[in-house]
Amino acid sequence: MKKSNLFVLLLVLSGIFLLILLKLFGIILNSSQSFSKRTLTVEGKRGDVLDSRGKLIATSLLSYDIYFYGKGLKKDEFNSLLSETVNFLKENRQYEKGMKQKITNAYNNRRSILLVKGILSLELYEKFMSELEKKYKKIRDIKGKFYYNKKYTRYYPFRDLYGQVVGFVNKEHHAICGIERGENGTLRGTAGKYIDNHLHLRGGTWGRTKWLNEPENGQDIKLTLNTVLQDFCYEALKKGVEKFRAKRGTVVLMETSTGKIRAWTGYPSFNPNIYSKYGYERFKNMSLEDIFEPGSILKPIIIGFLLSSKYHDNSVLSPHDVFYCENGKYLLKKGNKKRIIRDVEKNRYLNVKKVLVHSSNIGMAKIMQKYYKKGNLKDLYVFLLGILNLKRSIGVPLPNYTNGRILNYKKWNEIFSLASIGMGYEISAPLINFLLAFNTIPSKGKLLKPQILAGKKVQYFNDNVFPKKTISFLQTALRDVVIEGTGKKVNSKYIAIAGKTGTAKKYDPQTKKYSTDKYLASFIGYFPADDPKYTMGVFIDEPGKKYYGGEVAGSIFKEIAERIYFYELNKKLIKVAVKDE
Amino acid sequence: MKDKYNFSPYLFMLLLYGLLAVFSSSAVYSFDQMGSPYSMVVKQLSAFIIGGILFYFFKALFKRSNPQGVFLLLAYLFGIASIITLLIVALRGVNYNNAGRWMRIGPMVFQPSELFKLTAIFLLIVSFNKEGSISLDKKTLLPLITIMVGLVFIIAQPDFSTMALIGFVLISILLISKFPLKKTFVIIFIVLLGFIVIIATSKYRMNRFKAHFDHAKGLEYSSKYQSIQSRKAIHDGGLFGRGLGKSKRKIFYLPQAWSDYILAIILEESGVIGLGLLLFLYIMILSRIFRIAWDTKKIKEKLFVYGVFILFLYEIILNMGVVTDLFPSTGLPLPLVSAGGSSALVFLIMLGMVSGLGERL
Repeated sequence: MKKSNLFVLLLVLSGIFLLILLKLFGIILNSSQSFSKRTLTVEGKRGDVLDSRGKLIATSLLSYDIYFYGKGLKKDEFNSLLSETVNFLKENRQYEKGMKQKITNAYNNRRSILLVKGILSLELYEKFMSELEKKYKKIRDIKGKFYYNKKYTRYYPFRDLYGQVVGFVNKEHHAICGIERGENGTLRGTAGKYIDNHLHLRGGTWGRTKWLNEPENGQDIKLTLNTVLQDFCYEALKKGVEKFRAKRGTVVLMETSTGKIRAWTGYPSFNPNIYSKYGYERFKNMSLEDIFEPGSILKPIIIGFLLSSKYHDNSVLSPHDVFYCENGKYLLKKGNKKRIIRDVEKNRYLNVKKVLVHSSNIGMAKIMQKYYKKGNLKDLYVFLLGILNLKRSIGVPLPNYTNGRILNYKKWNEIFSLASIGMGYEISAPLINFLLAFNTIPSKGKLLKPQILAGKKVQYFNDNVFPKKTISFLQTALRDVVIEGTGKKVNSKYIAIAGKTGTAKKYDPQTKKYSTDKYLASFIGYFPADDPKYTMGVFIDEPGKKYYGGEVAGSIFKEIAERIYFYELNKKLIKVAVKDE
Repeated sequence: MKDKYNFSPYLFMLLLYGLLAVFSSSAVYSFDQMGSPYSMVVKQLSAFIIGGILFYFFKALFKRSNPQGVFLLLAYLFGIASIITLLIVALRGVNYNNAGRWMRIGPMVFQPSELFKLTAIFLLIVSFNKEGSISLDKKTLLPLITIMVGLVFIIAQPDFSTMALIGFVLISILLISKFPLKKTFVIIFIVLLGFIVIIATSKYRMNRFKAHFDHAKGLEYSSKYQSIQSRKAIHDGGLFGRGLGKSKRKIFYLPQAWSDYILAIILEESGVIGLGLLLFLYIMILSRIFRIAWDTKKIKEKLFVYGVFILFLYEIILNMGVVTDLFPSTGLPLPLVSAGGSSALVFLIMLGMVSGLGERL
């Protein structure tokens, strides 16, 4: 038996035991566990979205939530306070069933509870508090038992009028679509950060907060959109889509000479205040996020290109050329492949202008054949890339812009592809791109950048697309479309409209064929025809009842144009009257 | 029995304390898993009752008969029982907690390595000669080989911590005996070398080992999870605790809160005060065991009581070290407090024997 060894062993063990005890107290007193340090962010107030005349399209409303935190109250104090509070809530119609029990539970669990959510008259609250204070003068800390939380709620006063274009911000303050998303950086401002230090000890919590940087409010945004015009377009579109039982539709109204978009609407739209009721598909901007094959509305642009002396000499196509239109049915053949091209109107001989006016597919096919013999395919390809902005963004601050598509000219099938392009197929782009391209005709050859934010300079992609001669030819042709051609129904008694109809069969990716019952009916035009002020595109997707562009989209176009005419006429009269006084 | 040797009242209080702790830490889990909040504590209570009977049986045995002969008999009996049960576990162990350490006997789950703790002490004690040293001859070869075989079985289970604990206990007995110090250090050196090899070659142990020293890695391996929860529980408990039954960590945060980490729950619920009471009970029992050992004259009996003392003390210290995150996480229970029938049975048997030896003084 070695006693010294035993004592050494015991000494070592007591040392270890002491270490354990030290560690134990270390853990108990460890400040990192009782000291909480958090970095929190606070969003600034989001900027408003205004229309061109300063009306609020989207705004952030400040609202207050009132909480109750009953820690430290004695039971009898709490009970009398509870009945007062419940009375107050009932008087102000803020009382919900079971709230009394919830408040009691929160008190028992030493938690705070939300009493009033959202906006409440501050006067009423002040009255309530002063009455409470009178009754409970002895309880000093009663004021601290109620506290406020400040928050912003995004609100859209025009509800579904601006739908897809303005978009919305969800409850978590994330911008989801539209201008809200596209201009989020400007609207949002910068978030503030603060450090929240707290020391939790038995008997209480001590703490302070320190701002790293304070939140900065976002900036307001003024749009070029005009609520009156937007309303005209939305009403007419809604009526039209419902009348023709279409899937959906969109209208874009643009100032001809500046590219400022004055109205941009889609139907069916959605109410951004209750966004969660809709599916994601509803938030899509049809004229920007989807791409379509345009159909006949492309014809004037192609003709313009072929006539222009700017791109090639007059031998390619001259306005006096006449084409035989085969009485409405034409068999296109190359090798084994066959394709029948039909016209709606049966015609024999048509000159170039009449081909446009009657929107003859056969005429276009023959014109394209002639071009193939004389011209250079690459020229057409480059021209289309440019004028339809196929490979670039159009610069609108809206998300999810989809680039258009066209097959490279080297892969074109000389006969069939060219005929298709002539008729507005085998080429696709967002609908607004066709409006911009079409606008080169009324704006005398300028390919404008569309503007949706107010106060910006007019910008061009290209300021001389067509020579003057071509433009005047196209303008008379487009006026004739309305007077005697496919757009007869658009002809108005009050205002001179010029434009082009389009009825495009939709390509069905499932069957890999062009659908026989799904169409895109469209009408693009400008008014007044002699001195264009507005260029407008009306596009109706899958109309169910009738499908000709002139009839479906044209009637909507006409209604909007007439309403705008009368509205502006009234304004002029009022101005004149004011001057006279 | 003289009062200074009698630890039975403290032992009884410790058992009550343990039952309370097991009940508090396991009730929610038992209710959730087995439908009754009492199922775990009833198991523990039945182990205590059987253990109590065995306690008095061995107490009487050691009081009346000649301990030298009993040592030899029990060494053979426990030796055979241990080797057989360890063999059975090795062949078809009930896989529980990813360690094949358990075997089923009727309604009970038995852990042979717990029995082997006692067996190993016996086997070492019978190897000593009258001078209190060990000389290798025909008599001592069999017990020493049996110890080796048992340890190999335990390490194969794999249960490194129990093996290490037994190793430490045996070496400590050698240290305080008259076994030559030089040889003892050679053995210590060899054993330490063996430990290092065993830890380094096993990925699981290496991870636990790394986890102890590397906080971030520990989270990755998730073996640190228990110790983090344990620290939080201890911190929340503070000086006075949350109050009995009010632990938050036991409700599915700290897994198996009633076994190895039961001390964390005790600290969370009753704070340092509760720990003080527990330590008081332990110290009273240990000091009385030490007294018995000190006053015992015959060398084998003396070393046996020291052995029990050392085993008891080591398990307490190791468990506390793990709970306070001082040592890497192991699988050692807190003696007579953690839920676990085998451990409780073996400790009660050992204490019964010590108590019997105390009666002789």
